[in-house]
Amino acid sequence: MPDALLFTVVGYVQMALLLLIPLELYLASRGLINATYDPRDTLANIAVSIGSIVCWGTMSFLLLGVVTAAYQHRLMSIPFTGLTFAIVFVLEDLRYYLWHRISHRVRWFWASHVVHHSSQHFNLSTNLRQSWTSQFSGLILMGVPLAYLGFHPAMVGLAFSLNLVYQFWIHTESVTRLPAWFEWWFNTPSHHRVHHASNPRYLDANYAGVFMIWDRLFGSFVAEHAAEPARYGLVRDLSTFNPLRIAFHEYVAIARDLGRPGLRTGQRLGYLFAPPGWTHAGERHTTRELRELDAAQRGHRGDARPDALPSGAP
Amino acid sequence: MSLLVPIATHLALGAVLAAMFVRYRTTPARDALKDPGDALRHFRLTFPQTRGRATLTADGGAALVELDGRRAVGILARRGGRWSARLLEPGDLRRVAATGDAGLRLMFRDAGWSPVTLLLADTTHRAHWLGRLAPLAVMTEVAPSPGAGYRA
Ligand SMILES: [Zn+2]
Repeated sequence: MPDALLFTVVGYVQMALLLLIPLELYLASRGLINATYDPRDTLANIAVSIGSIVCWGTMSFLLLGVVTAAYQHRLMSIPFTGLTFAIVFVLEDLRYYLWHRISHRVRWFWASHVVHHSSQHFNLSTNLRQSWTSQFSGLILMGVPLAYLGFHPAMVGLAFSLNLVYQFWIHTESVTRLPAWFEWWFNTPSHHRVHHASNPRYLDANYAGVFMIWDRLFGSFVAEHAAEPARYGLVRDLSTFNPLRIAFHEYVAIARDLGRPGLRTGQRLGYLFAPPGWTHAGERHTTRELRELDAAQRGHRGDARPDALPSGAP
Repeated sequence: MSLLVPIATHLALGAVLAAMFVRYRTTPARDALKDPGDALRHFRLTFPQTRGRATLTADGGAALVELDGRRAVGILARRGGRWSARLLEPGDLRRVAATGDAGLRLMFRDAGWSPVTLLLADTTHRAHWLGRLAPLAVMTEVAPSPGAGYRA
């Protein structure tokens, strides 16, 4: 298994990355790069991040317990080598892609992940706006397969930490486009701007952590179009900088919907597990419906993802 | 690594950024709404097919939108350097109250919007909107409106 020193180093790298935030703010204030900071938004990001650290740190025994139990019943024992770590890094990135896609498409999980998308700004500090409830939602079970296969939980944990380190720098407007080969294989600021956008044509796209290949394979890739700048935030705007409201607002909305009078069991389950925006009476729209409405106005099918075709290959 | 280290790092980062915000005056421009047409233009970024009439607050920092043929009311409010738009359907307001000379205090049932105070131009406008919004604080069943073009 990986040496404990490796985790210490990654931990300090994660904290060192925070220095890039004041650097981006400084360069933007001098007009040297494109970045928009709003004091209250940025300070809210930091407050939300502290809450996330406390919740994650105090509840991490849940994830640890689940993956440790899975590892104890493993199919085989996979040693920690350069090759096996490369393999687990790729597999962990696939797990991240699936986790991320489910987090957007199932309301119960969206209620946790929505926190990360709730800012109307997109800069390096947006990266700090993380969920408080990721340990409770149930998706920690997605850590089971790799441990059950025989990868030591510490190996998987290291791959996950490096994945998050990679994702830090892609939360920026200051980088326009990178070389085509890089944009094809890897997640980049351009791809991630699309992911954080609420423009209908950009919804439900670019779930990748590190390798963009998953979105291209599974049909969720959408390229950023210069003619349509991203509008960041949620389909239903928030209007608050209160960390508690940011962290829990979607749970409150779910509770409100579940409290509607006269619902059948299936309808209640719909308010929990259907895509965000679903209602039994149809007065709101899911993101898929929004894409279809938008596409109809543009004159093509909303479920078509022309950008997912390998035409953009280098 | 103890939780105290990342928490202390975040607090230090917050202090540094707060100082930089003051030093470099990086707060984005908080443009006021110029006129009702400007308010509708902002509102339509979220609700593209909106038809109606907007009433601006005295400082141009928010607007209420009377939507053609709908019981719901639109609201556009500036939060920091960005505009937030939403519909107020029946039951969406926890409380509507008059405040100050021509103010309206709105509290929402959902947690996504902090309470907001709208300072209208005069008491006549305030009385009109108080009468319009007060019924929305009462929960009633919402009729479906498929294809209305409003975003989820
Ligand atoms: Zn996401």
